[in-house]
Amino acid sequence: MKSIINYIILLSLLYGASSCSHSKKFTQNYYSENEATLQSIRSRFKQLYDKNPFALELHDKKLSRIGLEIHTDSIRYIYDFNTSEPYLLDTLHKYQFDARQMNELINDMQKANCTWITNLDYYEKRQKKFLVFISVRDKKLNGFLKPEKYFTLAFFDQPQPYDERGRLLDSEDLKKNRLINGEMFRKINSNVSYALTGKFR
Amino acid sequence: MTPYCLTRKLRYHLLILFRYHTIIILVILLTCFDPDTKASPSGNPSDSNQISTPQQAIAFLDSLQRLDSSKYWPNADPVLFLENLRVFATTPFKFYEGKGTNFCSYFALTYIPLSYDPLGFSRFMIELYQKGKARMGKVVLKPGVAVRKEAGLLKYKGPLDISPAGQIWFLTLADHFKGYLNIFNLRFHDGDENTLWASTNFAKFNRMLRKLFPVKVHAKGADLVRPWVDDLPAYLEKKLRDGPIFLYLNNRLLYKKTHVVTRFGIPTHFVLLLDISWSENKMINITYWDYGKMTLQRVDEEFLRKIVFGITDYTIKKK
Repeated sequence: MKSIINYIILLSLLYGASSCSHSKKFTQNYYSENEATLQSIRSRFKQLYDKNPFALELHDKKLSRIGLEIHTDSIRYIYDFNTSEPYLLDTLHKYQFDARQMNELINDMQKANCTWITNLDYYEKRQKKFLVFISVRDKKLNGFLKPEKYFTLAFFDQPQPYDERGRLLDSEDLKKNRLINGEMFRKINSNVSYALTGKFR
Repeated sequence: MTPYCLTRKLRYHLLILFRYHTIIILVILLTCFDPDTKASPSGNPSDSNQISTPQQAIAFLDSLQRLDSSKYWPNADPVLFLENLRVFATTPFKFYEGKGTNFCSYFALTYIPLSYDPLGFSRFMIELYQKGKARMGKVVLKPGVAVRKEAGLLKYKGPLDISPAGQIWFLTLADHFKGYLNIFNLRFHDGDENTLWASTNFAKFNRMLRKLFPVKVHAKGADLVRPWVDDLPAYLEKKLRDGPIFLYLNNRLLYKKTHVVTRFGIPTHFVLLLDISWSENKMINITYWDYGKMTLQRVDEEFLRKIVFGITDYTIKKK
């Protein structure tokens, strides 16, 4: 009986150690390997967003179901489509989106396993600013018995302050860490930060 | 019916009662049963119930000209505070609860004072700012020191960052009203706007409505049990004929945040339902107010049934 318990403890420790190293390795490699795709997604999203503010979600595991949030001054519309449905195109036309660009954005997001892209507003010295927020769901982060994890990226327009351990700081109070959606973010480069989170939005 | 059948049926019911007694007790405890929660035949408020107008509120705020800094709210800028109140009075739907906070219930109920009595709300906020306490409805709200110091300092919550008035209002309500969800975190600490300290269960929400505003409240549903309504869209449609209503929703389904499928859903989000209508392909358009915006979402009936745990409608009491 004792040996069985020891065996289970050893397995759990090995599993824990492997999952930690996996996540660390993933964050180190993922951005450098996918930088071009992620930056392309970001710039295409910004181009589309400037004409029609929106957020896009791929909310099933096959990344084929789309949640589209269209923001107007007075109201926010939330639609749910399958990528193969004609209603998606009809809706894009109705709200005067560039359908070709939008389809390319969706395709790129599917290729890079992006589940969510949005523009998050924040205030610095009472001035409104934006950052592009992208979440990635990668198989390497989500295995059997592992809790769901997302690689979330924050793209800022200006360089951001970080502490010596690479943690994102509040630019108005450099003694404080800055949280985004309640999560601590770390440095990828001066304008891009990442976090491993349990939620994609 | 033979006595034998009756006995068998009785035994069956007793067995059910014995097996599920914990759940039944829990449901009774969580459900908001209150003698004051009977539906009024007159239904919800209409414009005739308007107590004051936005113009009256603006005239009152203009008459103040300027506001001195408050010793009770050291971090709330008086100029910005006054400006916030003007915006609340003229464009109530721009009121914002803040990103990632648990202020959705306080946000939803703010529809009532901003819509029916913007002058009363402005007066209350000015008094709260100047004296550190003020009466609204049946309660005197006197927030604690920790809360008063924090108001004006909440950051990275979107437009709530530049709304000291919104921060004061939300923190004051969260500090005053407590439900069973708040038991383990009763005192405010840094960051508690995102924790159980600020959260609201269904009974607490209805209690807040009754204590703060001159309303008769009719609530259906509970924290863990969905309301027993045969035809939910028709029921909501009927209630909406008399004015907006409040819904207590499962936010995990409304705004999907993970790919994990959970069978056990619990409600965590309050919204103000403004409209419901049938769309093509048996879909339903629901229009609700949350996160500072009106939202129109297309859902199917099954989804709607799954997300709704509480329905609250109200009637403004005539003086």
